[in-house]
Amino acid sequence: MNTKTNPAAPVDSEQLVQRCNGKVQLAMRMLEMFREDVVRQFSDIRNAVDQNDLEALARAAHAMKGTASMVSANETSQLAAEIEVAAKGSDLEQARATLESLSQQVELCARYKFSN
Amino acid sequence: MRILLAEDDRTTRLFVSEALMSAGFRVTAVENGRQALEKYREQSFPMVVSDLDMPEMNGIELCRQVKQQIRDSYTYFIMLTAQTDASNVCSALEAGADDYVLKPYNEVELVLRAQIGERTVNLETRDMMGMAMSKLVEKRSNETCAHLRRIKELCLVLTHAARLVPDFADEIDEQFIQGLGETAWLHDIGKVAIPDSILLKPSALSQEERSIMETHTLHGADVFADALQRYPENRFLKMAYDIAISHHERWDGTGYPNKIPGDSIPLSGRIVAICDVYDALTSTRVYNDAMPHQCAVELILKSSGSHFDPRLVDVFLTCLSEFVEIKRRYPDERPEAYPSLQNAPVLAPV
Repeated sequence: MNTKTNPAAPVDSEQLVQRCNGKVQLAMRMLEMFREDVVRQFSDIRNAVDQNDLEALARAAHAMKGTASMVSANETSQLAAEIEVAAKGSDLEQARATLESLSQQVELCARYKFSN
Repeated sequence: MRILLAEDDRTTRLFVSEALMSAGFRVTAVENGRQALEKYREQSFPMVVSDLDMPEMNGIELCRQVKQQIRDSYTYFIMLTAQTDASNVCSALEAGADDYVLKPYNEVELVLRAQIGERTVNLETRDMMGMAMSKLVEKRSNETCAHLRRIKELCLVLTHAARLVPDFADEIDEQFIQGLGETAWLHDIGKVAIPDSILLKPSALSQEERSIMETHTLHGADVFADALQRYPENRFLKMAYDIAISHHERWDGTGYPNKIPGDSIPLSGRIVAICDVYDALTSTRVYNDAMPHQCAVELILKSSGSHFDPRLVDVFLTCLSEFVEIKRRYPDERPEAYPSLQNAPVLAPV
């Protein structure tokens, strides 16, 4: 699967490899970790929403935003950023509304197989 | 160079570690600020790279603590932070961070930033080594701290003026000037290897004693030779080496130790030669009294083309007032330190 011709891909692998200065092996190891971590991070976010814990929500969303941006899971990072902003603005409704889109992205990420 | 890395996200930690290690840095990676501080207390690091948001202790607090703990040499601190946290950048810099990199960073930028840090830390080390070594010269020889200071200033004046002359303009760039300023005062470091009986002798040296005295140029070069072999690209070392070995060469090829003539003598050595002779003539030394400025100038002028590069002597003549001012600004602190002076022969004005 070529990500360049597939806008629905959750990870911009070309950008990621570029970030790694061409080291494909490193990019693959990062994605391997990310696939596990993004699921854990998402459950942190969901738990925080369920418990109306804005502080924990902002922290969890911030963490996902950073990790996702490093592996070029750009849509995931963007959605996590929106949730972080919502949490910091005490807008739990907005955070909930974004959660569904994020859930879909996270699922795509968790199933994502790197191809170059 | 060793780097302590604090990053809670393991994907990012892997990425940063690999990036820095691929550039030759040795990385110790931990998961949060508290662990980083423990490591740092065990063993200080010249550089810390830290994420800003971390559990237990965040990057800001880590930075503050590290900067407070700095004892011996500097620790350069790079903060890794998310693009959206502009206010955090200010907090990081306020806490003492030297630089920051915004997420998502790439390997090339990260490595370049770390290399800036390495250069900065090395600059400090170089400065400290230079000061320590010049102190060594002062302790061991009869030359005062003021003499070393004057040599540096005189060389800088002469170099700045020489830069305006087409013959030298190409060779003298900012790095040359900076290097000369940092190394000119180490020109006589080889004197540490000369026995006291010769170094401090208040009367004329015998032929044999003179040839031993002349080996201070070779000993001086030897001080820098091993380091230069290991870091052949280092201009600071190269210049220190050149100056030590060539500041007693003469333009006509009758100097020592290698009897090389003209342009084959490094420019730095030719510059130091004039300044060193001028300062020696106009200072009270263990073997002779100070000569008036005008006499020293005439002597140097007479030696133009034989002892000194004639083009540099021409430049020297354009900065005489600055030379006088430097002599005035840095007088010798303790001329009474050499009681044998009273018996020393007084050199008649030329």
